[in-house]
This record gives sequence, structure tokens and C-alpha cells, in this order.
Amino acid sequence: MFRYLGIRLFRALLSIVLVITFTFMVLRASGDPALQILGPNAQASALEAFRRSWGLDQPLWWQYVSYFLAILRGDLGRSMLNGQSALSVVADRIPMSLALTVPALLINVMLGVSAGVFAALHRDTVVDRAVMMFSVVGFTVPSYVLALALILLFSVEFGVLPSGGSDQALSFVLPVVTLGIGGAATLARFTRSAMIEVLGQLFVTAASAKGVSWGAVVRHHAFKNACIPVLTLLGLMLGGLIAGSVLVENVFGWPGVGQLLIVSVARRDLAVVQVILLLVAATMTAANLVVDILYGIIDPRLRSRPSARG
Amino acid sequence: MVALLSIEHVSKCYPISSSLFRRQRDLIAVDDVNLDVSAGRTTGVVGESGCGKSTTARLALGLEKPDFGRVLFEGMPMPVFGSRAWRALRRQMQMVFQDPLNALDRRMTVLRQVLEPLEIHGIGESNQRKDRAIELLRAVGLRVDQGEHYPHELSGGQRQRVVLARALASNPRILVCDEPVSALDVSIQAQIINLLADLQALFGVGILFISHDLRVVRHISHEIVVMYLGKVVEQGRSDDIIETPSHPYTRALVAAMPTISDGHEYFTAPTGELPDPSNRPSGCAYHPRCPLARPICKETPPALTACADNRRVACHFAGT
Amino acid sequence: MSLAMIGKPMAKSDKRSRPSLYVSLAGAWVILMLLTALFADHLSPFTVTGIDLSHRLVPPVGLGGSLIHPLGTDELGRDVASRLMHSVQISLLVAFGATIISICFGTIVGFMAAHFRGPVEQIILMLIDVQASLPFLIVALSILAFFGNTLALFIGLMGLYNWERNARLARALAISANAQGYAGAVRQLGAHPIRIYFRHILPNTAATLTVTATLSFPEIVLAESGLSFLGLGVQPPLTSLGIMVSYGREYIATAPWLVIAPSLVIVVTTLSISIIGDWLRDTLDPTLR
Repeated sequence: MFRYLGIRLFRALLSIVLVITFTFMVLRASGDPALQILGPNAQASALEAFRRSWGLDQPLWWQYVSYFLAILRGDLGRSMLNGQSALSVVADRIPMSLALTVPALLINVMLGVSAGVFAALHRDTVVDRAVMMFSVVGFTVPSYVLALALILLFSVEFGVLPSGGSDQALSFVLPVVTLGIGGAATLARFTRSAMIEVLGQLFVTAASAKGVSWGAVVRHHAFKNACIPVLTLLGLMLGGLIAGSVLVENVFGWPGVGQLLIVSVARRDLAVVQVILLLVAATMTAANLVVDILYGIIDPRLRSRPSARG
Repeated sequence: MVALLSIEHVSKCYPISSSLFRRQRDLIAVDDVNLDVSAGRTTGVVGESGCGKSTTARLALGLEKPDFGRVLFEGMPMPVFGSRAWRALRRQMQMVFQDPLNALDRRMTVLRQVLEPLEIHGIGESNQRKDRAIELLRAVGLRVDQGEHYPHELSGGQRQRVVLARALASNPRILVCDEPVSALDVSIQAQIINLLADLQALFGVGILFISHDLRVVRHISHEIVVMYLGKVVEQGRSDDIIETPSHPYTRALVAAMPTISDGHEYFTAPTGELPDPSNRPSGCAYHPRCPLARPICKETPPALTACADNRRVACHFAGT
Repeated sequence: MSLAMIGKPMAKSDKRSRPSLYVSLAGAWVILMLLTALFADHLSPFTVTGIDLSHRLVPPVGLGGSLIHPLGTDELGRDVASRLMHSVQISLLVAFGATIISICFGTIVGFMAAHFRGPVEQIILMLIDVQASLPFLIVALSILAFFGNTLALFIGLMGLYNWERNARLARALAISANAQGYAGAVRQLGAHPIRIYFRHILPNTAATLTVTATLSFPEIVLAESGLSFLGLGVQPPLTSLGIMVSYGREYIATAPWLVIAPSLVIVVTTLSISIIGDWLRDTLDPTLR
């Protein structure tokens, strides 16, 4: 088990290193980092100081190392907007984003998994059909269209929910629902497929088992075996959630990290963009690591294989 | 007669790691094998599965590098696999495989595939190549119109003819055939073997012929090398070996060839199970199955020694 | 979010109970969109930038408008139907270009990994894993921040969508092709590796690669529209479906057709392409299910 964990951890760290390398290369390739980070209006002396502190007059490999060390120190540059540390600017926004994504993830899982399981257990009925139709929505309707549709319905037509901002008590409802539905749809479909496959395998086994109730079979075996592919998907879905929250925050004017990213990209506030990229990479890597650990716990067979994915 | 291809004291082993114990065991695929192939003559290698025949073929072609010993072509050592020199040498050495369908590209017509070696090695002018390809197809007994077919549209025997034509396109001096007829029906086998012999007479190509089937090997080979679990147990002139086999294993193989007498087939196969190549028996590898086995066979592996003119055997009791 | 993340695109019950009516409808819509994209310049009654401030926010026909502007006009008096046609043109153009780039890039990288094995392969696999773990939107936004935005750059950027999935597939196909006889046989003929990959392995795997890559097409349409919606994709004066939605968003209370029209086109087009893609995969290569 430890060997398995060790490999996973090593790969996770290597991923982060690769992302840091990527940002370094992109930063260097797109122009003078000093100008980019400090902005075009910075004074010549500030630029010089920056260049020296970042070692921009040094050979490339040295720059890379000092960039790396700077990141480890937490020195990620300053936002162009207010001169604040980019890291703190981003950190300030994290709670707002979490306020959306955490409930949305819960809705995803609860709604999606239960819909999928329900559909699988009631195959070919009206309910099943309905769930499938609903899940199609998930991947053909982009999140911003869904958001606007909900706004049209609930804010404009019925006037019950606010269409944007974060000041009213009910402001969070529509954004959370938007994020929740999209992900739930995909998860429902996937869970349904996984359950059907597992149920099919179990049906033959259970038919010859003596006195085991169908409910018990479903609870103990079907769910556990279907868990594994669903777990993989959850890892992927986090990515979808992050991407979705960028769009949703934009539509609703919700002051989270996603909205910050858009604004920073438009303004080319590269320090902030860099921080967000690294943050997302770290989050995804950590999430995948957790998923891998859960794999290892649930299915000991996987521990001996070098890679569970791809 | 100068040998075109010389395999000298070649050994090759593959590590197999046992994950449970983290200790590496070695599978000795080929152990101290010596053989020659000369122009216009065929050297046959025969033995059961796991005896190292295919590894020998790969070593002969330079697809793998031996751990010990060396492979010489026309007196020069074999270049490294994949290098430009190795690729250029392919013009002189070609291979014929067991499964012709697998060896041919499904999406190219037969004629295109016979043309390909001509293109790769830049043989002849481009307008002459098509004619040469057609010539080759005729030489292997195919019709010109069959050249427009795709491999899966032909029969097994026809496909193997295509492989032969392709192999001969660059006019190689050596042909290595690894179980070329094992996948074919018995009647077709005879046709292909005869075709090979004709082509050898026509082009003067030296053939290394590898098979588990002694009947097939004897028909085409001038020399036979008998292998068991990676080692050569007997080698010599083809007729001698068939008529007077010395090594007990060779005897068993010869006895296992069905003979037809009085209209009945008599068939006696070697007894016992083939041992796991990664876990060879001590001493002489054949001793668990050998009717002549004595205590010394279990302790000391016998060396391959000459016992007659152009004949070598690895047995403590050869000839008894 | 994509069809590809799901194990089986369509369960068997769906196939049996769904007649090919859906496929036919989807096919009809896709053809309509393709024709629109090809002939937008000739079909559209007005130009994309035809500002007509005297006819701002005219509703579509049937809701108070007339046939002059069948889908109404936007806040600058521009004809919605015309803009829609040109938007379809641009969105499909970007998606086609990006899909092709993604296939080519992914295939080459995948082949390289399969051919070189050893450390090169390990590095490539790591890159694939890293890319797979990052949401495309975030990576795209970062690159846009650093490099700015021209149409060519944007199409190139979209070409990065799913390259890692194509690379993984290409590598797997190349490895299995190499294990098969014909690649080894041609190598034994003395062919240079490049010849082996492009004359032999590629033609034999192209079908699988393309069919799988069709999965990306609708996703790229969605991704492009998302970026354009954010104002960071296709830039004016060019128009795209996402841009139209974002322009219309301000008037959602007063002129909802500005949002509904492009949104419907996005959804129906993506859905139709997905249906056609599924159908193609099922008929051409059932082994992929």
C-alpha cells in the first residue's frame, strides 16, 4: 500500500513541477516578465530591481531555479490592479467560489448518483427515459446557456430569484443550481451505465446464490463495484466544476476566483493568472491523489498495477 | 564454401523478475549456439516450442543483440538494430514469417507490397519497378491480376507466396524463414516448400529454415540443427541425422514423424512434458524424458562434440 | 463535460427504442448548418455589422416584428438572422480547424511516444496526464492572457482541446500496430521508421483516430462559444454564437430573443453533431463502444 501511495505522491509532485515549468516557459515566451508582472507603467528602477530579484539577467536555468524557489516561498508577484500580493488577491476570493462549488458538488453527487442508480434499477421505464433526456441536457447545454435560461425563467418571468450579484440572501440559489444540474446530468448517465453493467454481472451470480435478497445484493456488491468508475469520473468532474464555475460566476457577477480570472485575463494581470493556474493545478492534483488513495482502499487489486488510468 | 551468415557461440537470456521475491531469474533462451548458412544451401533448425528457435532467428537477423558471441554476415559483424547500416543490410537479409496475413498490410494491394522493398532500397528505376514486381509475382506462382487483390482476399498459401515475393524483391542473399508453413494446410505446405527449394535454385539464396516439424525441415535442409531448451543437442548433414540420429531427443523426433507402412500410420511421440524454460532441469536438460538417462546426466551437461564427419552431438551416451 | 467521459454512449435499450428519426433529424440540422456556414455570405440578407439605429431591438416575426428581420434585431439594429448565419460560419470554422489540429498534434505525439519508448515516452505520458488533469478552460484562459488573441492563434489554441486524449489513443494504436506483424515486417524490409508510421500505421489507424476525434467536435464548439461568451474568444468585428449570447445577455429582460436564438442554435447544433457522431461510431466501428 505504501509503495502504491509513494508512486502516486511522486507523480502528483511531478505534475505540479511540470505545471510550474509550463508557466515559466509561457511567461518567458510571451515577452519581458518584468514588464508583464509589474505592468507597463512601472518605473525603470522598479523594473531593474525586479529583473535582478528574479535573476532575469542570469542564464535560463538559473532563472528557472529562482522562479521555482520564489514560488515555493510564496512570492508570486503582485496584482497589477492594486499592487497587492497576487496570492492574497486570489486567496480573498476563494471562500466565495467555495460557497458555490461545494454545494454544487453535493448536488451533483446526490442528484446525479441517485438519478443514475434509480434509472439503472428501473431500466426502460418512463423514469429511465426521463433521466436519460435530462442527462443529455448536461453535455449539450453549456453552463452559461443554462444559467441564462434559469435567469429568464426565475428572475425575469417569475421574479422570484435575483439574477446576479452576491448581496441578496437568495443570490446563491441560481448559480449553485446551474452548476449542480450540469454536473448531475453527466454523473447520472455515467452512474446509470456503471450500475447497469455491474447489475448485469451480478444478476447471474445472485440468481444462483441462496437466499440472498436482491436488495442486499444491490447494496453490498453493486454499489461497491460501481463505485470505482464513478470515482474516476468524480475526479474529472471536479475539473468540469472548476471550468463551469468560471462561466457561472461571470454570468451572475459572483465575485469568486472564476470572475477574477476573467478580469485578470482581460487586463493581462499575469501575476494573478499565474497564481490561479497554479492553484487549479494543485487542487486537481490533490483531488486525483485523493481519488487514487480511495481506489487503493476500495480495490486492493489496483495497488499492484502501475497506473489505474490511461 | 564460405559461410554467408555465421552465428558463433551465441547466447541470449531474458530477465524475468518475480515480483513476489524481487529477485531476477533469467530465462536462457539460447545457449552457445553455432551455425552457418551458406549461399544456395539451407540450414534447418528444429525443436519444440521454447527451444530457442525463434530467438535464434531474431539474433540471426540482428533484431536482437546476443549477450555472448557474435553474428557475422559475410564476415562483418551485424550492425546495431535500427541503425542506417542495419536498414541497408536488410537488402541482403530477409525474413518470412509464420502468419502471412499478419505480416502483410491489410490496406495495400499485393503488388504494392511487393514493390515496397524496391522503393525502400531504391532498386532500379521507378518505371522498371512495377515490371520487376510482376516478375516476382510470377516467380512465386501468382497471376498478375492477383497483384491487385488485398491480402485478405487471397488464400493462406497465396499470401505466403506474396510474402516470399516481397522477401525476394531486393534479391537478398539470406532468407530467414520462421515457421513459414506451420499455419498452412498440409497439402499447401508441400507446395510452398517446393517453391522455396525452386527459388533457392533459381536465386542462389541461402536459407535459415526454422520449424518444429522435422518432416518439413528435412525436405528442404542440407544441414539440420536440433535444439532443445536453448541448446544445440545435435547438428549435422540432413540425411545423416534423419537416417542415423544420435541424440535421444533427435531419435524421439525422428520416431515421431508419422511413417506410412501397410497403409497404416505408425506414430510414437517423445514422452513426458516439456519443462519450463525458466526452470531448466540440471545437467543435461533432456534427462527427465530420456530413456538413456543415468546419474551423470543429471549432474553434468554434456558438451557438443564431434562424433563423425560433419556431425556433432551433445550427449554422454551418443550413438548407443 | 462530454459524451466521451461516459462509458457507453447509448445503452442498448435506447438504440432499440429510438428510431433513426432522431438521427435523420440531427442529420438534417447538421446539413442545414453546414450549408449556412458555407453560404452565409450569400444567404444573409444583411451584413454582420449593418448598424441601423432606427430599428433597434425589433422583435422576431410573430412576436411583433416583420419578415424583414425574421429573428428580430439587436441593440444596434443589426439583423439577428444574418448575424446568426455568420456566427455559425465562424464557430464551425474554428471547430473544424481546431479538430484537425488536435488530431494531427495528438497523433504525432502519440506516435512519438509509442516509437521511442523509454524516457521520452514517460515524459510524454506525464504531459498527457497533466493536461488531462487540468480543465481546458483554465489552460486556455491562461494562454490567452499571456499571448493575446488573433483568430489564427485562437484556432491553434482550440487545437489543444483534447490533444491528450488523441495522443493516448494514437500511442495505444501504434503500440498494438507495432506488436502486429505488418509493422515489424516492414521494419524488417529496412524501412525508415517515418515510412512505417505514415505509410502503414497511420492508414490502418486513421479510421479509429478520426472516429474518436469526432467526439471532440461538439465539445470544441461548446468550448469556443464559452470563451467567446466571456469576450475572450472570437473578437469583434467577427461574430460567433457565444458573442451573440453575451451581447444579448444585457437585454434578457427586454429582448429575450437575442439570447434565445443563438442559445438554441448552440444547443441544437451540438446535440445534432453528437447524435450523428454516435451513430457514425456505432455503424463504422462498433468495437469502440
